[in-house]
Amino acid sequence: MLISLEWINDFTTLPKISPEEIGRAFTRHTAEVEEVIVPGKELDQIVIAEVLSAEKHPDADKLKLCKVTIDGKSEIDVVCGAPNVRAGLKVAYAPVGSTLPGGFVLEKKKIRGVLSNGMICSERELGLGEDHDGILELAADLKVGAKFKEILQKDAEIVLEVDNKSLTHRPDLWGHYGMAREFATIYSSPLKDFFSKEWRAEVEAHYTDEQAPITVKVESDAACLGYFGLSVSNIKVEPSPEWMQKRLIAAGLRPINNMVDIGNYVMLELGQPLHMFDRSKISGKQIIVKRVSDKQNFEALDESVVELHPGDTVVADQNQALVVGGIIGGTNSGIADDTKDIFIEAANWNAAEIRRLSTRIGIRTDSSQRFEKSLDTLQTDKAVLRAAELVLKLCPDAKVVGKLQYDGPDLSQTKALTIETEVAAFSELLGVEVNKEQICTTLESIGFKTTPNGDKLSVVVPSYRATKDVEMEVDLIEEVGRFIGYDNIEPKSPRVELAPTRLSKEKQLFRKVQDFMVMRAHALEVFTYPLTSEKALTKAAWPNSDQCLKLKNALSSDSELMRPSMLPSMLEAIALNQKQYQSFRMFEIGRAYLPKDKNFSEERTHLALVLYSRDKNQYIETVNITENFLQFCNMPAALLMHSAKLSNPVVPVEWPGAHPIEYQHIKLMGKNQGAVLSLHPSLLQAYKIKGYASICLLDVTDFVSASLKDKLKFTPISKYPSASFDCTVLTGKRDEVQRLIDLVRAIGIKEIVDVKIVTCFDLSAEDNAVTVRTTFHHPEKTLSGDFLKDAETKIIEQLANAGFFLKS
Amino acid sequence: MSEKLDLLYQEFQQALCGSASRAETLDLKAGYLGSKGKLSSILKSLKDMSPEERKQVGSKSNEYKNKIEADISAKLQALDSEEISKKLEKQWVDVTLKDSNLDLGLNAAGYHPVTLVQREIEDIFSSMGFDILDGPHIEDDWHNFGALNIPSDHPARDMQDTLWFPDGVHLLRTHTSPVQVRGMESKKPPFKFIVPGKVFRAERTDASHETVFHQVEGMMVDKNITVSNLIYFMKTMLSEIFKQDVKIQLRPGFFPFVEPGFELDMYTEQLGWLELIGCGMTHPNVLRAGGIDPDKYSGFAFGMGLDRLVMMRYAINDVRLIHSADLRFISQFRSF
Repeated sequence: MLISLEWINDFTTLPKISPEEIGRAFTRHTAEVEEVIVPGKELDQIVIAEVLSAEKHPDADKLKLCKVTIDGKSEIDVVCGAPNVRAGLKVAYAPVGSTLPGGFVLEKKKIRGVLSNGMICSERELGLGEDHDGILELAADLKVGAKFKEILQKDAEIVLEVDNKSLTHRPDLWGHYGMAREFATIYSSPLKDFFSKEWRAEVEAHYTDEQAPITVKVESDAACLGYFGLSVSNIKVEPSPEWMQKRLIAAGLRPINNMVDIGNYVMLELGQPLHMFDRSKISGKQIIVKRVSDKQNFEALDESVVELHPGDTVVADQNQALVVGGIIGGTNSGIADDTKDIFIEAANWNAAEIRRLSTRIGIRTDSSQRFEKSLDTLQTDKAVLRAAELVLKLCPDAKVVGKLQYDGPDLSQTKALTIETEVAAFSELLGVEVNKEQICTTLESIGFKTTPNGDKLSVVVPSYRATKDVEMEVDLIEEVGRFIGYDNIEPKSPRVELAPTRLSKEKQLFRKVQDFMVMRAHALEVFTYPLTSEKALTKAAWPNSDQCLKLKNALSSDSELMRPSMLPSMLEAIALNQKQYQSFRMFEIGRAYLPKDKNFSEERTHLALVLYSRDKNQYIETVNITENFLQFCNMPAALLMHSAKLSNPVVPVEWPGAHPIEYQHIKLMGKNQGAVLSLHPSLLQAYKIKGYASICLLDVTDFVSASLKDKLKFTPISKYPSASFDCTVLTGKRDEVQRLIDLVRAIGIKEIVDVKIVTCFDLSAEDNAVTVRTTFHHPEKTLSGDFLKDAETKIIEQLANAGFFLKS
Repeated sequence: MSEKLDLLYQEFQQALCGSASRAETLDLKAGYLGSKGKLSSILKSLKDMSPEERKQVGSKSNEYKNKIEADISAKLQALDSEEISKKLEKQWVDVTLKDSNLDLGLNAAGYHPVTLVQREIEDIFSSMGFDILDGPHIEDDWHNFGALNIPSDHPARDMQDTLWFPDGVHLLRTHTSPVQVRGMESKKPPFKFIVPGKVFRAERTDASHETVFHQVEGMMVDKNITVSNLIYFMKTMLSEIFKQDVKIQLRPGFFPFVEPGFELDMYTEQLGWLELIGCGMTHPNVLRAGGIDPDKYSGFAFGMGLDRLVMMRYAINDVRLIHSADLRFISQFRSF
């Protein structure tokens, strides 16, 4: 929304301070001013000069050698190419070294062999318009040497650009009059009663007793809150006067013709959109506001074709729809160059329906933008009268025919909103002392009526603030607070009772995981996109991508699915980074999103750790880190070798991306909830990943919500010594050492407290030599030589029975 | 006899000089001090001497015996240390062959920059008694809008471009504010918490816009909470984050879930005025929707862009890097 300060001055008196200061005050008290647009802001160095002489350039037909003065005494040589440069002309002169709009810095320059000291400027060069046919001719009475900026700004429109988002809740601020009310309060300057009873009577005096050529009817189910219409005859369509054009341009609208411009002017002034009909194009004698019953196409003013659905509210004549109510008019009834008689519409519409319809048909207009904020129907007729006043002013031969027509709810029955409040409530919420007088003065100044009654206060809300914005006590407190100025509120700590604060279990775990992954796993934390695509999942060979949660209005098919797993995005991340680094480790704690019959969706928190190396298998290291990790987090978990029978919710059985051997499940709290696996070479190939990548993937959701007891307890240090026994056996190349450990443990001697592999030696092409160390201990006695001898024999026998013979 | 002893010691010293090993030295020791050693034989012959001579020779012999013992142990020590030196010489390692000199690939570990700043904010609020919450990313209309005083067809819905699921009820949360509602549903006042988390908007991405980004939300509900309290927490938080006493300014701002609502700007020498936080006093409708009696309790809420703060702190020029998993970016924040 663009506010012209000159326009504001029609309704109140702004103080004589810089526009920037006014902008800051508006930002502090009402809504955010994004920019203060002052014409010629950049023209600081431009001065008024007089052309003393203009002779033809000796070497160029179109150029002239000019002498100008900026002090009435000294002469400056300037080369100028404009046809209209001549002696005696007052011009805008840019001296050498000055900066022109667009950042161009003027230098001393030879033009066709003649030195030019600066430049005489055209409108375009000054950034004031498009004209570049000649230099800007200034009034003859201007003082030589004066700053051009000051002259320019004397009668220019200074405009504040207000952020529309910050006006979302303020239907009253979508016109200059409403804005002026705010300024009047900010600067304690009176607001002119511009639309007084007297004014109204003056316009109404133009009504005639004739039958109105067009009457109006609003069908009771239509999305219309009231419809006013007035017929005016014998107008003449022509360009609107300069003062009106200037204001429209300042407020960001393009002048079209006087009738359309009046409509826009009144909208910008009062915030109430109007529509101007060419009355000759209305069939029949009545305008009907109704919901359409059939699907139909409507040709809109902007030449788009709107598809109307049954139930959409339109303004129609006896034959057809003329306007999509509150949004856009049609080509069939608008003002044309030869329009003689007009019908002025001012109506109000159901805000929610306007918003829904304009979203559906994809048309947002200055009009719909205002109606969807909930306008006040009680202000509507004022707009018609103001428009009629302007029509009569611009077209002295025009005549109002009949009276103002209305259909809709009985507006005289509209009840004002009264809010009962207490004086103390203001100080209590703001945290600063506010007295009754401050409250009442502020509220009265923005149009509220206050009736104090001791400590209580009865406040009548003006209708233009009561459509949605102001509903209850807190809304009044805001009104008072913003005008008092929030800067005047001192920061104060609340007085609260102390209670212990701890990080939640979930937060503690997340931090623990992150710390472990950084300190022990030596990995970098990354974030990948929670949104994915069919394409990305297909590339990762992820099954059932059609069962993923899918967005309705994703901006691109690359991000329309909620990721069912972090694996695919991790694969992308590996592919990206392996181009730069020959090895790396990274992790993410993120969510996987799954559809659910009940509650629509389920979000699972996953941890993914990736180890990548171009030349070294990372699987064992990944397993080691995983085992450390599970222990570090006190997770009751174990790793299980993968087999076809084992399923895992984080890795679908059908997924072909897992390595056939380097694959173990993480059983956590009795359920498979994760996996440590290497990525299958053929999957890596699909991503053009060279080398080895292993991943630990764990769903920690259940663990976070489980309450596990801390079972850690100290066992007194035993007084009795342990004994250990080493034996070296021959194993096949593909025998896992785990087998040996399991065999020894399976003997079932309870004094065996530990079985470990000491060495695994590559003996020959067929055999490995593996040294197994068994440790014996009894907490209450020293083990006898006989016992140990017996146990050792059993171990050797057990291994030999399984085909693992002692190395001789 | 005395001369003989002098000669004997000279001879010993020469022999000791020539000894090159521990064994040789010990042999030498035995040759002089052993039971059949040269000095021992002299000592043994003392009994055959006159008392005068015995006294003289005896004391001289003992003197030499002590000297020889001392010489031997000095020699042994010298041999030992020579041996250790040799061993050390052999065991030489290249002490510059360390990881930081080796090409071990990226070999870096550390936290995401968002985590770094997020933890700092969490710690600041945690130290003031705030809990840290999060909620689902996939929300329903009620938690994301309705309970926050944004009914359907409210123009405020335009302020946030929403990613919807086909049922028209579920959506990706557009702000962390639905966790305010969940917080109110699960807690009894008084309470205070912050909510750092991911949010989603249907926005075209460029260097300063992302579909997925992070916010921090905060809420406090108690008896007699005021605007002045809100300002206190905002100023404290920002002063802690920017590690200096920052200037702040509140101005009217519209967010349907607060009334009054504010935009909060912060001023620092280096950065000038910055629009940083949306905040306000929790709207009575929102308290009511969360099951809290607005006549008894009041509260404040605030929200700010976490990514923006992170980008300011580290001079990051493109928000898309945050979710890029590009280690050229992430590794610049390595812990080690």
